[in-house]
Amino acid sequence: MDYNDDETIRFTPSVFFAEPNPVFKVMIRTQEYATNQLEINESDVLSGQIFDVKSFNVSQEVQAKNINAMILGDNLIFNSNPSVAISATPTSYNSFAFSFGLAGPVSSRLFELYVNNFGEPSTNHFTINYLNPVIPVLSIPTAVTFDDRLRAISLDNKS
Amino acid sequence: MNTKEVKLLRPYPEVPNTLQGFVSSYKGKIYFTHFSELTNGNLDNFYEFDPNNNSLKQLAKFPGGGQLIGKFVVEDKLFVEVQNFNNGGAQYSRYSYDFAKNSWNEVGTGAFFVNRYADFEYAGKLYVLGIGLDASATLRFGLFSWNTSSQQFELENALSNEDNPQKEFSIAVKGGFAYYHMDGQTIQFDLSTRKISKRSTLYPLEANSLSVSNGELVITGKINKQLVYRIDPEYFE
Repeated sequence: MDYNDDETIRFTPSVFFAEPNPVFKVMIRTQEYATNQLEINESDVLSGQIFDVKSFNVSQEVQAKNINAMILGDNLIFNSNPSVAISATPTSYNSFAFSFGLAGPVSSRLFELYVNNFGEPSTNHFTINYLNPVIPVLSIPTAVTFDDRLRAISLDNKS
Repeated sequence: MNTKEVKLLRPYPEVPNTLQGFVSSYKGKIYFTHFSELTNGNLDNFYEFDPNNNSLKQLAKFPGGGQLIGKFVVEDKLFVEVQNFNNGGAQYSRYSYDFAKNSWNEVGTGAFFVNRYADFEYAGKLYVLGIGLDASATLRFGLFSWNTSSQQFELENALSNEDNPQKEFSIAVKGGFAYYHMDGQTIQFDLSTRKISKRSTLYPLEANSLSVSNGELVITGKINKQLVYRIDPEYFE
């Protein structure tokens, strides 16, 4: 927080906004003042962005709009797919870098991802095209435990 | 994309939970043992699992002992090779199991193969990838095929020793290619040209469970051993 002049207070809230019209309460000389009519711009990404991802931890930059630079880690991305492991770091108010991996079984190599817009998905999305030849497709039930390695056998082509 | 559910057919508390041995198959049944080091102990059992009725049967007692180096099924028999070290030298023995008679026989001694090797079938022939003896009795890493007349493997193509996995591995065949995994890379071997055509190092699984299921190449590895991964060779770099 700093003071530009006697009539202006400037501050940087390091919070995730759950709604576009938050109310700030500013305490000045023991007197509480509520700010009104404050409207936060919606966060979004520029449409049509497709990223080829071959391996985990390869950072790529997404062009976006009104990114809350104070949001770190997983909260920046609206991710409803538990198999997707993605973390993002703002690089500016209009861009962020991400790293992408798969932590569970998936049924497609294309992933549409949104930024977190007041707890909802943004209007536009960016697309990840997963190009690693190895892709998780099945979960082994936790009831099936094994010490170290599995052995597998193909029965299809055996007589 | 074809996915299926993984289900536990039946737990077998009576079977030791260490699986260092091998699995093989014959006429829709699975044959396996648990230990890479067979000691003639009571735990060194070989089993037959029938997935059609979830039944498990213990096979006749394996007559030998030693370090497992390979297995294969041919001509209605399961062959198992073991390695022993006596007086400073390695000795090798090959045993056969007759599925119909539930009996074992020792069928030969001598250095057929050294180190773990892997077997696969292609176009009606049995192949082994490993270090074995060539026609001049020299140990070579390469692709061997089974000769039904001599009842031995014969070297068809010598390969670079750099592509020898050295330790246990498995081979899966799909679409004219044999695949195996070693040192964090998946290798595609062209069965027509008999050369390694591609290799992928993008996802360093440490696994030897490569197989083909529903026409897809699948593997389960140590990065997350509760997951089954599909390998799509068209994405190899």
